[in-house]
Amino acid sequence: MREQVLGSILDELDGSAADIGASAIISLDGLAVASSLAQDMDGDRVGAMPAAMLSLGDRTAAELSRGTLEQVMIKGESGYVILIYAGKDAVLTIIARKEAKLGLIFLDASRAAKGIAAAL
Amino acid sequence: MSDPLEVFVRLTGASGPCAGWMPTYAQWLAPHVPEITDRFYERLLAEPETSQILNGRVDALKATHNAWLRDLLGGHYDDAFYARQKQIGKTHVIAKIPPLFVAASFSILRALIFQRLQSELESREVEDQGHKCTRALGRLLDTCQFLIDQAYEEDRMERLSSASGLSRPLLENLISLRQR
Repeated sequence: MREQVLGSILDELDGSAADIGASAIISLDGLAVASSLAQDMDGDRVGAMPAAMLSLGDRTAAELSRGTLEQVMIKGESGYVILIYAGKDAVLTIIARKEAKLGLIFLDASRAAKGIAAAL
Repeated sequence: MSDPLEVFVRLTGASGPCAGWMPTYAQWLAPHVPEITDRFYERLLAEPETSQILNGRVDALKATHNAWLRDLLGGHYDDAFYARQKQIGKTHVIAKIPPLFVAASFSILRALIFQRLQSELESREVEDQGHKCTRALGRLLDTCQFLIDQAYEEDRMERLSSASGLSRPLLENLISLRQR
């Protein structure tokens, strides 16, 4: 039941903007809870890396007096990876195209994160 | 995962048949504890880097070392004994003794103990027991070193977790990722 709810939140998120390529919900220990990422991606890495990045972002924001972490954004030449907390125990990972309109994606991501937090 | 100490003891056979002889060997070596300790510290003091760490504390450290060796050669290897060895590991970590020196110290100690043991076996005309003896003592020392090494690993993981905010399970996940 929970998996279905989480899956449908990711489906809705992926469908909300053409710029979102895929998304995943990761536990803070780095385990993939739900994912729409391509099958050829290494599931263990896809889980561990975002969780690690978010934890590091959290700590960096605190150490540099930037307050509570809102998101981590990674920009590569092919696009973005956006990480945001989905409640206290999970990370929402979004893969976006390089032409993406980030404002809209942040809005959709924030809505999805709230839904995920409620479902977990 | 099972308790690492239990796995270590099972894998190395540290509690095997040879271990039964340990109290006997321990009794033979016990009178030589101060001499082994003195020679051990002579070696450490001869090296500038270790000498610097020991500076001004040698007498106190010798007393602690004597107590540890007596415990090691006491012939009682129960949970309380292993708990004391774990505590010794933590103490080394707190004292910031570099792991290199711990490993080197164990190597020196093995040589000194085995050398003394050899003399004992010869004087008692039981040289044929030498292999059992060195095996049992070697495994006991290996177990003690393993427990100290574990304390260092635990400390490093804890420091990394604390500095980065990465949870211990996440760190374990990252460590176990396949190499590319």
